[in-house]
Amino acid sequence: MFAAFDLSTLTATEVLLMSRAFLPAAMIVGIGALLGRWDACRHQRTLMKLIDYIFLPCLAFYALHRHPLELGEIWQICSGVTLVILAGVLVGLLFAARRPGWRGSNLVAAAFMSSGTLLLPLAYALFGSEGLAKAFYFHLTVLFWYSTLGTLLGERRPTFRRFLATPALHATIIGLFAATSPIQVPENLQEFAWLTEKGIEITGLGALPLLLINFGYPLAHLRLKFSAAGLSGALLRVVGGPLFALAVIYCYRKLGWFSLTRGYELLPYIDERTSEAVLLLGAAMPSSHYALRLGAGGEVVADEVDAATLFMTLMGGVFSVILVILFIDLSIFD
Amino acid sequence: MPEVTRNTSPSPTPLPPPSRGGGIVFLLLACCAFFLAASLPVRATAGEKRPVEVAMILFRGETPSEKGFRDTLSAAPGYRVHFTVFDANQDKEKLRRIVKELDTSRFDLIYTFGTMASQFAVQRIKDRPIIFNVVQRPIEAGVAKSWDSSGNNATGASNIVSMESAFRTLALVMNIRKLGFIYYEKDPAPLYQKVDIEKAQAKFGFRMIDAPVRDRAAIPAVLKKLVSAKVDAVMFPSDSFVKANADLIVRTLNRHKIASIVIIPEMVKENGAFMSLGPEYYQLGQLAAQSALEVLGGKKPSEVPIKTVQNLHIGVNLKTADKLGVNLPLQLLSLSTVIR
Repeated sequence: MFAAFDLSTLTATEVLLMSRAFLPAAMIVGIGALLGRWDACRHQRTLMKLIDYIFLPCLAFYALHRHPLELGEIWQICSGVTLVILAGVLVGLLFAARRPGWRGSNLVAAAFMSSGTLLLPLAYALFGSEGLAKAFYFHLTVLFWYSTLGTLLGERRPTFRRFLATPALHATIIGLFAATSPIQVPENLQEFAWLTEKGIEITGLGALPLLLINFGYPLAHLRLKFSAAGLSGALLRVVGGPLFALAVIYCYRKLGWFSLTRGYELLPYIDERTSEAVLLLGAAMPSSHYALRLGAGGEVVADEVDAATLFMTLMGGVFSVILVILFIDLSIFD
Repeated sequence: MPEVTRNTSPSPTPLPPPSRGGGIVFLLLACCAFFLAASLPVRATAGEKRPVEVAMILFRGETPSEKGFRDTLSAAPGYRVHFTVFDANQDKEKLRRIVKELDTSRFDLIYTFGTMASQFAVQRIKDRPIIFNVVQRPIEAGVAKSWDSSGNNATGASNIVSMESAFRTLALVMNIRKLGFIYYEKDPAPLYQKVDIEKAQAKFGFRMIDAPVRDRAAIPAVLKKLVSAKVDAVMFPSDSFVKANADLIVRTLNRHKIASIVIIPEMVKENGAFMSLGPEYYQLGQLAAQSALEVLGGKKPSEVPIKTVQNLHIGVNLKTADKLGVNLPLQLLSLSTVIR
């Protein structure tokens, strides 16, 4: 079903490309953490607003305005993410039944992954614009579940309306409309349209380092505590997540929803493998920042238990993400 | 190891007559050989290989496709194949002369590389089977009537590329708004590809900048036009003239950070082109050899359908990608031949 995970088949070029994606991302997160320390997180809200209202919508449009709309692809990713989240929540609830400290936002931190701040830049760096488009579907699905199920688990009122008002969602819809619209730009306006597109592209790509900085920004202020809840939450997130995703991919392949047939047209094959890769990579991401905000009652820095889960998933994520990238390269893109 | 004779002149030089000196010695040796052979046990003749003479008419020297053709044919059981190469060295007139003056009675098969050589051969040679290779549009070029049956004495392999597939693959690495198409205006083959690119414009949201080249001297002016038009990439057809001048063209494009997309895979390694989106030439040679074996087995060339490769081959030059600042996705890399 999956190609053998044989590290001896790894080529120097592959290692080089993976390092090029991973190391700069890790460095930028580190820079973000340093900035957060110097600023005492004073500019977190400004940074988040810039990202949410300007950069992320531009990135969504850039990722999707030339991406063919395929309902099958959307279904594969959205249902896959849903299954991974639900499996995480289910196992989390089983934990929570035994440990009282496991309730609330800590459960959210264990079940929900960082789909926006970390997955989007990494998916672009590793899988190009194709990966970015799929990562957006992933991100929006996570946002949907967070604003409904996540907030309920966090013992707060669902924020589904806020989800509908997300600028990135609107930009996604506009991008998909632009990709499928049969309307042709008149010849005399084409240069202007391309210039606008170029501007959006530059702004959108500018979001990638900003997202990583935004992830790193509050990390310096985490109140570290190696609690048992933090450790088990982290294990569920960075070990359980990829395992759930692997199970989903395995089932989808068995059901024929992910086809393994290679024809003259390699694109459908590449496309399906990329969907699998994004699903797996996304599932291996550290905890979502939303959990932090949720636990802190809308504030930036959360309480100790959530912070411990986030911190532990971050530490574990370094290894799990590297391992998952290697697995993707060797066993999925065989 | 295949037997190969390289012939640069159009008609083969006749062999010198045997010497008359030493007749008695020769007679004695022949008698000895006869008695020796008669005393040995008789071997079965079923294992004997059928000699096959193949004339290879090439336009721009040997490519991996000729190697694939030769390797497959030489490895086929039951045949002892001898290849005679006639290379036009990119001279159209010389190519015409080779085809015109070729003594076809000496050969069992005629192999041709490229559209032009195949067109000349099909027009001129009627008494021997022709195995063509690397002919992108055999029907439009008049080499065959249809993909299933040529309707004449030719069959072979085509390097046709699905433009849709090529553009979708390209979209994995870059957004293209303006695409230059550079080609030799006297070669008919690229014009078919140009029509395909024009058709793809609306679907993939780019504009094609037409860049025909008259001769080598005109190349700098054409490149200047492409650079000033601010094209995102330039596509090269499977065109021997462009291949011959690829060093100059690709170097200039790389300097201006313009991606060069080629159909001929060797151009990625030899000329530093960014990406190749076309069939592997060695594999094309193997396919042409399979057609040749079918013909040698008794089929008429018109009964052998024209073959195409089953997979699009992607080649990427990593150094050029770095120069252009293009981020290569991992999934593309896993399916590509990477030149470092």
